[in-house]
Amino acid sequence: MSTSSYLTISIILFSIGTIGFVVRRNAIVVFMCVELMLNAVNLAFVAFARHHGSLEGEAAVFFVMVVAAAEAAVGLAIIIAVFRNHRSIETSDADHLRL
Amino acid sequence: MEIISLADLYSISPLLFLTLGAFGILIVDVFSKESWLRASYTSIFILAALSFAFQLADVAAPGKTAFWDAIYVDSFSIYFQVLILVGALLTVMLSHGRIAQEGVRSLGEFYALFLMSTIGAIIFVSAAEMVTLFLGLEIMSMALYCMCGSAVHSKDSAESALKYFFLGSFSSAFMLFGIALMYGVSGTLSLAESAAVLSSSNSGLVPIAVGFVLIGFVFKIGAVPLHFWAPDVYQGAPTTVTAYMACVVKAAAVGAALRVLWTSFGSDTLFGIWASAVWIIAALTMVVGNLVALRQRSLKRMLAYSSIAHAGYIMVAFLAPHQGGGSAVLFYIAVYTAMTLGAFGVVLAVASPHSSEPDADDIHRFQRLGYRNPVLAGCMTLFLLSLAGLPPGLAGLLGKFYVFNAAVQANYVGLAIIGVLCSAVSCYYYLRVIVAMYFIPKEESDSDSLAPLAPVSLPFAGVIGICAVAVVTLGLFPSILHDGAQFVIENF
Repeated sequence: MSTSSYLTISIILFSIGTIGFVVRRNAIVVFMCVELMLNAVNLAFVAFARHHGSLEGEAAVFFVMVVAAAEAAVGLAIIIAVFRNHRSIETSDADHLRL
Repeated sequence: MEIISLADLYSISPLLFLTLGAFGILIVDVFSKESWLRASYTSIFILAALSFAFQLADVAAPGKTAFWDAIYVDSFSIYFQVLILVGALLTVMLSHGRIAQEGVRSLGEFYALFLMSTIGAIIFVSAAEMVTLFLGLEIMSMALYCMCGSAVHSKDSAESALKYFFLGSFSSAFMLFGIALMYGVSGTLSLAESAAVLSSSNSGLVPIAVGFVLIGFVFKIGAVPLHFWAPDVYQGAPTTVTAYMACVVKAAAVGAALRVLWTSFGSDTLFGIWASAVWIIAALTMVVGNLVALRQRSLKRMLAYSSIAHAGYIMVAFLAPHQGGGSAVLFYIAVYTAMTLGAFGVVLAVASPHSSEPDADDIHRFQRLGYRNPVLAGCMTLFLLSLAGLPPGLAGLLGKFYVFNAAVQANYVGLAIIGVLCSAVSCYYYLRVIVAMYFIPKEESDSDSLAPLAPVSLPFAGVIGICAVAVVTLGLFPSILHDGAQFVIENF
């Protein structure tokens, strides 16, 4: 497969993540969408690394994975804190702070 | 590959000290529950980092890098390191005693996160390579998300953490995708090396990459259209965290954005791509920030919108790379840090310590402050006048002058006019607080019903004093800083 096919898949995954982030209201699902976006970027990095024949892009993927893991830890902790205070993880219920 | 050299380690010595401090304080936390001990422990490590940052100025050279081109050791990165560390130090002094009142239970973790966030900010501004830049951004943000939610039993705090976390990780995913596209086009992650390839490439991916990277920066700077998180997060987070976000984080984001836009996207062809976007963003940011600030009653929200508006002024100078825009940004961000930190300090002193009250930082709490606590009110007046750019707050006025002057010289007269009009509008909401402090007659005010102000502690008074002195000094002798800023930009 050529680089452009990998890139197309990556863009499709990224778009699904973006749309899901905007449309969905459940905090866990929204969080999964962000993870999907990060993994779409990983795919792009690996595809480009193969295209250029350089290792830099593949090394970047490891760092992105670490960031995604840290994000999971922090994000789930925050979601639990919100659940304790609001008794809900719907993002539309977290509307105490208003304009 | 050679082993890490001592010179490399020396060039990140501020980071090493902060890391030591961050882990050390978790151990200290086990043995002592004294609040002042943890705050002073944190301050000592920041001071050590600060002194090493000053030392680094001797080895700095234009374009010099360490760790195989991952970190810049030039005067630009040292300028921002010093600014970040001074801002962090002042925030720690503000936090002492107040942070526990705002519902943060585990102070050891709080200060550890605080130091880690500062580490991230420094990596963010001194990165010479895209993945390092992204990691710096994430280290800074991840610690901040936790700090926002650190008042675990407060609804507002948890909600602000949730909003900041989701919108922050969403925008950094966009930035990361932009980085991946940049890598795809140029085949390198280095900021400097990618510049040449990006400017000669006619791939359709380049504008997308520039746009996506810009989205990440616009979010962190808090500019319109990605500003909507700022008021909610600023209001919900503990006030010291808000002050830290408004000053240190914004300074770091501005520094990193300037570096990327002027290094990687600095060629004439790429400038054409992002200049019009930044023009619109800056104009919108100034207009929206100032107009919405007009109707805020919560002082924290008002300062949040004011910080959005100031982000707009700063972005105006991004468009003038060869007309003094760089030194204008460096001067403005330093003055902005001093006046905003000072203003947040006064808000912290006057607002109710029980942030769960709906009117905890409402403007009516400032009524007749000029008679209840003349010194505090005097300092607040100075900060607000400086933010508005009115004399005697000359520092803010000069900052705006440098920015708009650079814009006019770069032929962005329209943008400069919008900026001047917007800062005229901003006088209304800054002066409203001053009117509340001095000119409300006793019989019309409800200041008697307010609880008397808690006595101001020594470090707290120190922060407000330092900020006031900085604002006055920079207003009277701007060349102290502006000459330095020009030197930094010449060695960019």
